Amino acid sequence: MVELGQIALILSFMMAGYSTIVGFAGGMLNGRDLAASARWGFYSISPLLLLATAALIYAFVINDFSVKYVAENSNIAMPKAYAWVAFYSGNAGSLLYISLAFSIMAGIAIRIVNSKLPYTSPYALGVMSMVLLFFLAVILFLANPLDQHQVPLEDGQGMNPLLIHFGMFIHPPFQMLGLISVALPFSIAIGALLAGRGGRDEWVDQGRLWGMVSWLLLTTGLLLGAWWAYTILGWGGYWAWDPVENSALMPWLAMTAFVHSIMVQKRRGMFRMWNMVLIIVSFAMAQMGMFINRGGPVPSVHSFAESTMGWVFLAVMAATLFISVAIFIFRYDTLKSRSGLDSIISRESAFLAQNVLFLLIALVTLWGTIFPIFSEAVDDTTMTIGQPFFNKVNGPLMLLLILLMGIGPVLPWRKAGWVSINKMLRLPFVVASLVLISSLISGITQYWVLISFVVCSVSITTVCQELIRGTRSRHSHGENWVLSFFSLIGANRPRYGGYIVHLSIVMLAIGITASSFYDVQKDVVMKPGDSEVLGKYTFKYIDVSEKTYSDRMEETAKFQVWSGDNYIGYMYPYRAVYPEFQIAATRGAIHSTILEDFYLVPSEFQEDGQAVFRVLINPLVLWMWAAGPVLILGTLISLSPNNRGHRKRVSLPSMDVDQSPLGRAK
Amino acid sequence: MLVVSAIIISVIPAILIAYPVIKKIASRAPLPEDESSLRADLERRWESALEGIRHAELEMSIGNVSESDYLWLKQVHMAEAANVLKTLEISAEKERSLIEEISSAANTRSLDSSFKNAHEKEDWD
Repeated sequence: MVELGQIALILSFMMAGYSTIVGFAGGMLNGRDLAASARWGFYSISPLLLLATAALIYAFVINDFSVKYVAENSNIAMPKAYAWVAFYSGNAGSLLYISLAFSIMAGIAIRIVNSKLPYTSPYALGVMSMVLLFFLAVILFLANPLDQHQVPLEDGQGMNPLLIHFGMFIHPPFQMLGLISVALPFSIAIGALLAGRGGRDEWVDQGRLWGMVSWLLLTTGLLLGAWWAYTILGWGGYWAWDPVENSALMPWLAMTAFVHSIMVQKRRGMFRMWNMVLIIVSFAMAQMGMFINRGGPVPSVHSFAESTMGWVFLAVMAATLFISVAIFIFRYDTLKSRSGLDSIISRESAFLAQNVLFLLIALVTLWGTIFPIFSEAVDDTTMTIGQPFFNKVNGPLMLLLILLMGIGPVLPWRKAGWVSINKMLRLPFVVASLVLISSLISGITQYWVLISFVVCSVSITTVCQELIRGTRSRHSHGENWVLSFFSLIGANRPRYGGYIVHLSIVMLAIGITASSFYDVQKDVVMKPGDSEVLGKYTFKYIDVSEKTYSDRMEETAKFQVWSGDNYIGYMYPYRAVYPEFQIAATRGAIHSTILEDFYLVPSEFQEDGQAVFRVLINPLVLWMWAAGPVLILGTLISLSPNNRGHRKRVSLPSMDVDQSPLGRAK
Repeated sequence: MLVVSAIIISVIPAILIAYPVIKKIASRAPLPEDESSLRADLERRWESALEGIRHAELEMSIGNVSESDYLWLKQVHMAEAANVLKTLEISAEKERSLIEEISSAANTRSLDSSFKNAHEKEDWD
């Protein structure tokens, strides 16, 4: 089976090479048969990679330690269900996972793109194939997960204990998929430029579709990562501005700017160059993420430490950036906007301002992430930039973004007069004033919290106002309230789906603000029978139980917890020591309510029966996790096609018009 | 067994890439419309103009914009839609003779009226 997987890998590499060369040739020679051949060659890659993946997972399941990667990332004690996690837990396997996932997604994308953009499609296919070719080359020549030992080992080293968590089944796949999926809108955009079909918004619908898909995957990956860090890393937080976290955040920021900005191009034929720049920057940042993740020079708690191939990724990133910019400059003349800004007070302007802010945050994050490299180059001392820098610089910029998120969507396209502005923003600013006054009365004095609550209230009110006004308008035509509400959303999915996404971002912002400024933390030394109090919570340490497994020793503490007079129940924080890895993995016990989390995590169990615990009260954290499904729902609504088939459409009259591409010879 | 399996997984992709070239399926099919053609470009601009009108109607109906902004927005988008029609005609005129130019003038009137009628009947929501 392993040998078959190896053959499948070699064949998939050959197919990716074939699709790259023949795809570009098909586009340049206008050879439709060549393009079709390249397309089918590309379609054949995912079954081949599926076979290679099956071979690897099967090796994990049967504990085939003759495979080096299996021996490095699993052992006999590992539960069989974790064969899937072990598959991508190491560097080589994760590259195979990325290749497989990208080949499937790109196959679907190219099928759709071919039907919508037949002349762009061969070039887009060429770019996608080239991306896949790179990953397969790295797998085959630098990090092959199916390489074998001459003599099989009896047992493996085991998987990193921190990865043995339910979240690992979904967080890394989404995160890696998110990063590589940026290549889809990038390929379509560059394909359109290469085909000479980027200047009339041809690629915009497909760019938006795949940009949104990529954005959704990146967002889900980030949220799952934060949730995993919160529940398993045992430090009571969810975001630490770690380089790997930053490397996932940067493409997300650029892609968020892109999915907004592309709407302006669709509606107004504006920002044509800007969108090209954004998608090139997004892909460069996604590549930067992979570079940092795979042995880049920046220290991180969860990069593939053993890998030294980061420089290969950096070199490819530089080459991609250079070639993309060259193509952009070559087609520069075709990318002039169809129209200009009618007014500074318009939705287009709001989008532009928001774009600038997103890129500014991305650049600040990039600078903070790679600063250690510069500091080392200048005076041989590695200076890392910590959380305070990111919080102080990015925090205000993010609040400004949330304010724009409240104002921008209610501004009309093109221009807004003062009467319209008054109509749309009067209520949100009245509510914001009330929130400010009530916050001050209730004793909130920290100005960042006040600003955060005020800007969040503007965003929430504009969204609610839009939903209520729209529903009321439909209701006035005879529909009942419920039907009015759903038909309003159904008839304007991109608009109202976007509002739902904005609501989820506000939920996130409120959760982050509350948990950052109002968290309470206490370290306590307790022995069985002791009780302590933190806030309204009383917790009693009952005892500790020890269990020894072949790979670890687990110590589980037992607590009884009360919230005021209400008995909550038992909570079981635990700590496991993995001697092989010299790692102690702690897992907090969390009691979550809509208002706050009570979080217990063991720091140390001492010989004399005493134990050290960290106890935290984190307000509104549940809002952040609840924001995830809301965000996914909103994005899916936005992405779902508007079914207007039952309505009468005003179609462009059918006439005998020039069908040849503009600016080209017939 | 390994050899047979290897041959099978090698032959299938080979067939997949050879078949379209040998059978010339794609080149026998009618030429797809170029996404960059004038027609496709006008279609996009037409849709964009209609979307703009629809959007202005929605904003007005839910009370987001003033009457004057609404009228201005609608006028701008109507003008864009009319421009698309006009461009369509000009392209067609290039292909036609002087006689067809006269008939195109009649066509203009019919297009204008059909656009107005269609707009009046359209369920913009």
